[in-house]
Amino acid sequence: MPGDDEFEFGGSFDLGDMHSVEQSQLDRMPTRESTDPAAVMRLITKLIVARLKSKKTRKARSCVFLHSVNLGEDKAKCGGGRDLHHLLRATNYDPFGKLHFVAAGANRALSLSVDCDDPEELHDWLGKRNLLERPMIWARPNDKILLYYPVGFVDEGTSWEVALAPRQIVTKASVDRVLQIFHEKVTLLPRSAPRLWHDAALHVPCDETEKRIQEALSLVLESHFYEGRVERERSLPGSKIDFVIFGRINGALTAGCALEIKVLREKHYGDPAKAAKHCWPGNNTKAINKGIKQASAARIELGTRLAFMAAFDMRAIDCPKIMIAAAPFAQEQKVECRRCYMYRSNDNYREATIIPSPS
Amino acid sequence: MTDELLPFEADHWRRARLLMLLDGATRAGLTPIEQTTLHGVAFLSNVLARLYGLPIENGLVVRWKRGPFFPDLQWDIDRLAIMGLARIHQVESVKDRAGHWFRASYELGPLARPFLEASLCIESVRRSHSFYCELFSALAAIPNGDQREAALQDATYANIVDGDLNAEQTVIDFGGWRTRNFTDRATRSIGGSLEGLRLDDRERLHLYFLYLGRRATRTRRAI
Repeated sequence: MPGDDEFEFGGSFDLGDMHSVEQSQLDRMPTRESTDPAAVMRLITKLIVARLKSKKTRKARSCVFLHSVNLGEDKAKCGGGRDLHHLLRATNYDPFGKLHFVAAGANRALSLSVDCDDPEELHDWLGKRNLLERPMIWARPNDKILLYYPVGFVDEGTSWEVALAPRQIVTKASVDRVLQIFHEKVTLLPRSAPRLWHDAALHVPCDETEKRIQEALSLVLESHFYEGRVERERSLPGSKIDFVIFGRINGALTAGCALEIKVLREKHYGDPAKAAKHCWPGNNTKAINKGIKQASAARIELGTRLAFMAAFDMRAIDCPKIMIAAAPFAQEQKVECRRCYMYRSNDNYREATIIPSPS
Repeated sequence: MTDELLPFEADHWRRARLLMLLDGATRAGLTPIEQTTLHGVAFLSNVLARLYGLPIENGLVVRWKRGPFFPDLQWDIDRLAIMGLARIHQVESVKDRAGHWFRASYELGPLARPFLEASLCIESVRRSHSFYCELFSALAAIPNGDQREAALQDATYANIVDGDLNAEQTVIDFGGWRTRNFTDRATRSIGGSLEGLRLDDRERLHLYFLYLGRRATRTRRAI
């Protein structure tokens, strides 16, 4: 009988076969716990964006994906439906014009014919079945948008908009586009999901704002670069980077961009908000320089073509001076710097964007 | 975990674990689940436990003609069904090349939800539950007809160090008296061909299941 050393893996495990699975299936892995609705929604976003590549689906009807904890119960609640066994793998299946209940891992689903183009009708349908609080994705190919409702279809103010972009390779322009979409649709104004402001009027951010921004941005990055891979919080020798975006070159995954997120603050988190302490301006400058260093270190270590540092600016005044001051260092380190100013209220935003009347 | 518990508590833990397995299957849309598949996943949960840093519940398995089978698990699930915590969906006798046997499908019972909700307030239980959910979610990616056979392709179950694959009743010890776990070694080797990428334990687990599924499909086609 052979010994342990002779067969490290027991003799039947085929490493070559395993490597072939790795190469072909990696982009279908859940990036978070399968039971997390956000992880299911990420996979669905990838699925929809990939489906829209085809010419046939350019004028496709809207479709909805609802998170399901128990497909059997949902089937009974809705009085039937068609069981789908491999939602992510059934390449010929047309998901448009239907409503789908999606189980953990997004492999199993229950599909029903529901008109998803009319918001009122959809709202009524969900309301009658007590499904308004389910996390949901509403894909509207005609409007070229995909709306994610992390806490259900109850309130428009909680939805995030992810533009349905065509296939993107990792370039400076495409990373800029994702940051622009994310800024305009998710972080520009205060919202309840993702909640980034603890008290917007007092300029107090939530605790772990950077982590919250990172979590939200990963969904937009993954849907945009759906053919590649987005790694979060990659450890490097003596450093760490928030995102590494891999693109596909000749079918192989290649590190395209290192992206570091920083938050510029007026105040630190504090509860109650009135007790929040002011942030020393020098801390913001330090954060920017540290971010540039991290992005540069990741570019060198991982061999990415691009390195970005995006600063989400939660300060009271929209002022670019801090970035102008950091520009020479960023240029020296070959890091692209972007600043996304976050308004603290609708009024504040309107004041800032109003066109002054000619004097 | 059962080693540290009194016999009475061990019974409770075993049954709680079984309910968590059924809940994982429910969440992945796999219920009602056949007993063969359930035993297979229970075995895989043991050989893969170390990947998630969890204790091995049962470190011994007998290689048998119908795949992994745990008599105590079967005993418990039938009792859970009588208690209303599980539900037997279908039961029938079968006769095939291996002889007479039974086929039964199970799902969570009407009384299971409050029990699970209370159990999940305990951190260690929640960690195990999260692992079981991930196992079933990974299993759901395998074609229906091959899910039952996935465990037979496992590196530990199908190892040829302990005995010939055709030999009946081979005892495989991967965590009872010794720590040699071929599955653990195999899953830790995953990602070797992906230069520059970093895989986490969840991705390793899912990739391993896809590998098992591919092998199971190939074996079925070859027969």
